[in-house]
Amino acid sequence: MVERLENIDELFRDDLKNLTPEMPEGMWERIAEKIPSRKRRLIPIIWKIAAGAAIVIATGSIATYFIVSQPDNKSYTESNNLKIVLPETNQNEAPVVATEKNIATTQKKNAIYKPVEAKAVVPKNQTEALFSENVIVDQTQPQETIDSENESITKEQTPETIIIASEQNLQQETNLTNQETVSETVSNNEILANNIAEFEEYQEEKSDTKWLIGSQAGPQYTYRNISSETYSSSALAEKNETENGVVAYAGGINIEVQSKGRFSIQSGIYYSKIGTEFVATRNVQQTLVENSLAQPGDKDKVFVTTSVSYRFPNSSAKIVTTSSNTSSEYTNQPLGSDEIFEPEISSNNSSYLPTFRYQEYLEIPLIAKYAIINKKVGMQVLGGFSTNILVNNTGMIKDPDFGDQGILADDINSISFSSTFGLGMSYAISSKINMSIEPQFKYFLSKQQYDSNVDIHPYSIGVFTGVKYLF
Amino acid sequence: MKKTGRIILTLKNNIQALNSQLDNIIKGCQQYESRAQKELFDLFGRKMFGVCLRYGGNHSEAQDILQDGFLKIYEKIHQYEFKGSFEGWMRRIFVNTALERYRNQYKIINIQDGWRDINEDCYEHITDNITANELLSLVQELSPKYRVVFNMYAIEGYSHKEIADELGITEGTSKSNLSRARIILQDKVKQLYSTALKVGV
Repeated sequence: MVERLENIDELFRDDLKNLTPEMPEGMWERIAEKIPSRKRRLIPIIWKIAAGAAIVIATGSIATYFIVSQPDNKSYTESNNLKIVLPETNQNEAPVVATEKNIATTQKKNAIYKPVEAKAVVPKNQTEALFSENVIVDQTQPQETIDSENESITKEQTPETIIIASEQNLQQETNLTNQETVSETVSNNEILANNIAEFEEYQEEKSDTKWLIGSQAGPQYTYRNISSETYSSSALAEKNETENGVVAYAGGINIEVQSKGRFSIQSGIYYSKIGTEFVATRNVQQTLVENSLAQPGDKDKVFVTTSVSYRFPNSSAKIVTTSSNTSSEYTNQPLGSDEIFEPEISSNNSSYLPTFRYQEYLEIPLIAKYAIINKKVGMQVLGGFSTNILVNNTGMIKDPDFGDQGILADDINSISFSSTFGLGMSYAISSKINMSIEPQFKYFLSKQQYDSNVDIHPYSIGVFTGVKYLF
Repeated sequence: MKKTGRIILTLKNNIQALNSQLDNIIKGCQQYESRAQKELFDLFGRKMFGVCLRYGGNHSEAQDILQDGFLKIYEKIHQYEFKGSFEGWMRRIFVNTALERYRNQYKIINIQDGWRDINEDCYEHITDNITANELLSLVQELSPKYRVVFNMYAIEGYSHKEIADELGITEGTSKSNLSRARIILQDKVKQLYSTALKVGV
């Protein structure tokens, strides 16, 4: 009996222990209204006294250090809202503002920067984040309180800020003598902006995964390498010598996932155009037709029919000629290199014609990146593989006399695979946007052409510029 | 084997990531951050509301318990030492909040031990047809003294000694209340599904 009753326990427990019913509307608002505001922790008076004593002792020690180690020269310089006051200044007197005439040499390590109008109005939440750690007060002055209730907050320099400010300012100084002028000083707002930017950068680095979307484009020099197990090495060399590379272009959009470390993975979709240049020859055949086309009144006239044909090396693609108001299509008979470099001069009136073939791909890359330098100016090495889908395969023979002649080719594999290696340099314009420039080398791992006698592996060297947005 | 190992590793990594996220939320609540308090409510609110519904006799009472419970959580979250299950810690606070309300509203009368079971039938194969909402309604219909003991023993897993200490009753009373709650629930389940298969006693 007990067992049967305990079964009822199990029945209810299985369904009700982890019950997650719908939350009634407005429930959070009800609760939030009643959450008490931040309680002021009651710190025993003795801790307050101890904290005050510690601050006074620390202030005095550091002030003593700076006072003892300062040279006798006093030096002031003033920008719109920044004043440099050296420790040996009499704090009871108003600081003497420097003019261009009375500036003396300052020493880098001992300069302390005190903001004159140090009111940087920043968004409250940024400020709260920025000042969530204890702020170290300017040791030479009485401690200023931070009024966290008002929107504008008096900015106090942290030691890090002091270092940054002094280095920034002094890098911009010319050689100082008693008569020289400090050319520029960094304003207080710029220091604050740098701090906020660095903090935001730190916050970004803390997050586990970052996503960036961007675009990239650039020119690429493309060429192809012909190899074969059928042809002799000399024949292959001649084949390769008949071809030249072309400058084409590539571009597309990408998406990058950055992990907590320095690694990231990038993919996307690109349009990539590669090609080859070679020379074709034109053969002109003229046939004298005597009398067969003569009409009454055409006495002494000679009729000539003209046909033009072309040949180019390394491909059996079809050629579409459009000369003489006719269009004909025929299969190319590949030229040997000797026919190009040592053509027979004949009545056929052959001439060399620049010939181009282009392949256009949709490229889907999968690239791994490693950040060698992971700062505002960054550097990465990258490598990966791409799937290339052929979307267009064109060509033309540029004949100045008879116009461009088309090349139809179906001798290219529709899917090819390539590998990519490169070096990237990036610059963070802001916390969300960065620009990059990436030289890349790409090599087709799979054969480009169907021809079983040859292996053709195009490659390209390009420089791509891009911009990415972090979200 | 390798695939299982990968799955386990993926789950483990996911759990670690979730625990890390939860730790951040708890620390935020300890810093009185409104955003963290809201995130905690979003994360556990529904589950704790389920607890409140079981102890409260109706929806309105459950909402009151939920409100009081979360206020208590935010007040006491500094006492959580990041040891043990945080959900378990929250659940105990909500149960105590419900009991506090119960103690203030109801008197517990010790019932004599040895309550005689009047229904010896047993039914099987009906669990698949009962929804959680129906079970919840049955629990809510119980008298408060039975509802509290049944929730604490059968669902939360308290012992009779712990229940007795919490409610200020004897262990015998706790056992009797539990027994009575079970019988009532069993009858109600039977009434819901009168065509259920009857298994020999």
